[in-house]
Amino acid sequence: MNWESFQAWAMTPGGIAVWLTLLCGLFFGSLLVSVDRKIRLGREAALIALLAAVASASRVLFAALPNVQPVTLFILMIGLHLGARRATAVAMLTALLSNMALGHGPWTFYQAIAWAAVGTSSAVLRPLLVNWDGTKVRILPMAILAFVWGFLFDWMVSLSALAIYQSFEAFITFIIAGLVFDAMHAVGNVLFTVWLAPSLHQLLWLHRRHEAGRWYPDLPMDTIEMEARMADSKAEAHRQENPLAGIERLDGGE
Amino acid sequence: MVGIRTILRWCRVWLPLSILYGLILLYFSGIDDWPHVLLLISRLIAALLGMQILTWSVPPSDVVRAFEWFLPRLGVSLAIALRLVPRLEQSAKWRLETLQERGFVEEESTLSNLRTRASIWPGWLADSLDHAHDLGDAVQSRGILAPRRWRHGVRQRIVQFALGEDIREDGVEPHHFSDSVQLGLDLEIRLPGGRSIGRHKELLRGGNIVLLRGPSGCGKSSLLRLIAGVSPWQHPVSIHGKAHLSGHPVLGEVDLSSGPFDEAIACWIPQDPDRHGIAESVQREFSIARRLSGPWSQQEMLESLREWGLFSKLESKPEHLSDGEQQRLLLAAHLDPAQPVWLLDEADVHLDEEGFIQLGKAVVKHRTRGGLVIVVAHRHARWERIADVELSIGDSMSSQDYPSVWIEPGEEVGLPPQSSLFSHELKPIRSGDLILVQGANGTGKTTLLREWSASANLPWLPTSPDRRLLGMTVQEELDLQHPILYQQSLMIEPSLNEEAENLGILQSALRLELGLSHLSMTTPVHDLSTGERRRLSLLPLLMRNPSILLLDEIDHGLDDETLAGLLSQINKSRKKGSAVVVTSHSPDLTAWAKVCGGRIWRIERGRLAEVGQ
Repeated sequence: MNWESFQAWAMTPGGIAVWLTLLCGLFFGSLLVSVDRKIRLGREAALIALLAAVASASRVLFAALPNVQPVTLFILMIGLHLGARRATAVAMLTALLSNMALGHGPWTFYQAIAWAAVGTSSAVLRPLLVNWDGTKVRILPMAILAFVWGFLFDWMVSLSALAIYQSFEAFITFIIAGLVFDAMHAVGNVLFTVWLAPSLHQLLWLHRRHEAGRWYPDLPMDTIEMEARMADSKAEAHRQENPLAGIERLDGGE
Repeated sequence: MVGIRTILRWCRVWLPLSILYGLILLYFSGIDDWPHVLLLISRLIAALLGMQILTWSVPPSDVVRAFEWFLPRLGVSLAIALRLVPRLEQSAKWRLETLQERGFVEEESTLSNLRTRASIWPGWLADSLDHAHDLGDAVQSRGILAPRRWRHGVRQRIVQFALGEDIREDGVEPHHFSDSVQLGLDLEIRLPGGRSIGRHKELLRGGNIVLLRGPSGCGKSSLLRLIAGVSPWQHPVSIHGKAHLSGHPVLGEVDLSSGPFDEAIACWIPQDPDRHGIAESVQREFSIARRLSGPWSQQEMLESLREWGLFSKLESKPEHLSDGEQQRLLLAAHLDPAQPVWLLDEADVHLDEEGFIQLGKAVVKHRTRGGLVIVVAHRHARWERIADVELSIGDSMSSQDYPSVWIEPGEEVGLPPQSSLFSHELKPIRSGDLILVQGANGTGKTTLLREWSASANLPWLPTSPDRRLLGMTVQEELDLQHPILYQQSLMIEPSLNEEAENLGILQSALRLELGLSHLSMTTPVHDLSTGERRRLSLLPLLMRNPSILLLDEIDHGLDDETLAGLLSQINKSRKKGSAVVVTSHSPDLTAWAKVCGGRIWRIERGRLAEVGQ
């Protein structure tokens, strides 16, 4: 087999499928290694595990509704709060874990890589997705991004179909046949954004707050500000009127 | 194992989808091309089914093991995730059970049911995060993220794997700590506002058992966490000063402020065993722990399991064990003789007498080796006999007598259910009765309460208060304690009706009585102390004023003063006509129950009988 015939084969659907899957597999592997080296703290390993477990469980839970699942939103929120690399770690583990129940295949690589791209996009677009001091998520831009990723994600994963069908026509048909499902994914993402984004935001904020509990001689400025806000509301609660004030007890107690 | 049924279930989903896809292909390519389309679809189904069978055939634990070889830290994440998945499911079930217990799901439309169920989502997530942090701390403190531990003896392992032998951890050299173990502390833990929550200036030497005493929230657990090398608190805190450990087997001299460490600094056994076990099975928990401390053999593990009374549980999943059995498992697996310092944070609270004797033997043996053992215990009667040094932290507490009251029993209110697990010929319970249920670990005390609650539609309070807390913040939790209060909280402009107003007043009055009125509404529930969470979870039970109050291990995690307050509240409920059923291993509570004229039930070999009847 000479170079020209190899080049010709590489451009056939079968060839594309093979090199694309190999490339994605290598990329997937290198991402896993880099994420593995990045983990230094037990809480970090556990947070990645928790988010992957929640995302996988929710994917399996919504398996009955075709292509409606909140994983894309999860990864968007993780990218937004914890950065692209942690989002990539969660994406990898979610693909692995959820496909233990739903079935592995070449699509596992593509799903992991597409979700990694989802997380990276929200990390890059962070200034558009949160308000000026980072305390609230802007639901509208987030919903638009989630909607767009509903289609993009499915098309990226559909590349795995090339490996199975090895025919361009079948692949295009596959994309067309899946448009309804892509739309369901996109609409589902929007609904999940409205429902879950605020509580996920609060959760990830809680984690960052807990994360600050280490051996620091001085706490970071943002932590001090957040705690001051909470202390204010605590003081407010103290000022609230006692609901029993002024009620005389019949037994003479205080 | 993949069976015919599994394959049929799979076909039920994928066959119609493949046919649909084939029809679309036929539409585009024309009817004449049907043999090609049929071939394509057959290939698709064969490929999908083949991969699915492959996925089903590889157990998840094998995937974890493969990860441990090549990507050790992600392997830990994967192991934790596999441990968390059933726990998340269980946690969701507890929350739905709690909703039902509080009367949320009755007489409501499907839509409002859905809305109520959706409202517990943030609390569920926050609890899961808390659990994940606990698991992360356990991983950190046990040095499981240290790569050397996971990659030692690779060549030997490959040979053993190739020859089909058991893979042994012979590559690890056994560790020994030095003779001069010392822990010097000169530090202060401060909150962000600068308020001190603990000032420690001590020099603790090896060969001693130190009992730490002090009220809840005085910083005992924080200090232990700090020595274990993990995040000292769930809140952000700053630590000023120095802490120094000498005699560590690997690091020698350790400056604790230079953490976090890859290595295990001390052997830390925290509270709540169900939140700190890492592996998905008893055997795996043991093998993960033992591979850290040196060579081990299967025989050694089995002997240790036998000593701790867990031999029959070898193949069990940790989530199927009782709290006491989980505590024994943690102690059996993770009490590491190679570590100079043992930190036991309420490690005995779930243990029966037999379990405590086993723990006492291990602790005394470690002291003889020259190790330092620091114990935190609220019920210190058990430890006072063997402790060498007693240290008080915070304001010294006066010895607290538990409030006792004698109440004349009223009319009959119920009987525990007869089931395959328990048979009994007990006299019925009367209003105002106090029942203390005792029994060894794993005999079924918690099962008794759960079954009783289900059969008689009674609310019950499990050991872990987190199982009965629904909200993410105190405000959300208070709103979710009663359907009417929840309805009020959903209104944009609340219009108070008489019932809601009365409930609000009752809730506020109980908050005041339980010492919870000072809590800020925006505080996350998991920032509260164990005692505060326990009282908060007891509040909806008291609001309902049931005929029988079922309380599991009421003294867990509470100091004497808090417990006395809670017992006084229980006495008030008895005066109002409720019977109270409590489980406990504590000798102090047994004495209290006797003074109050309570009845003591004992579960033994599937039989529930009244002591002295």
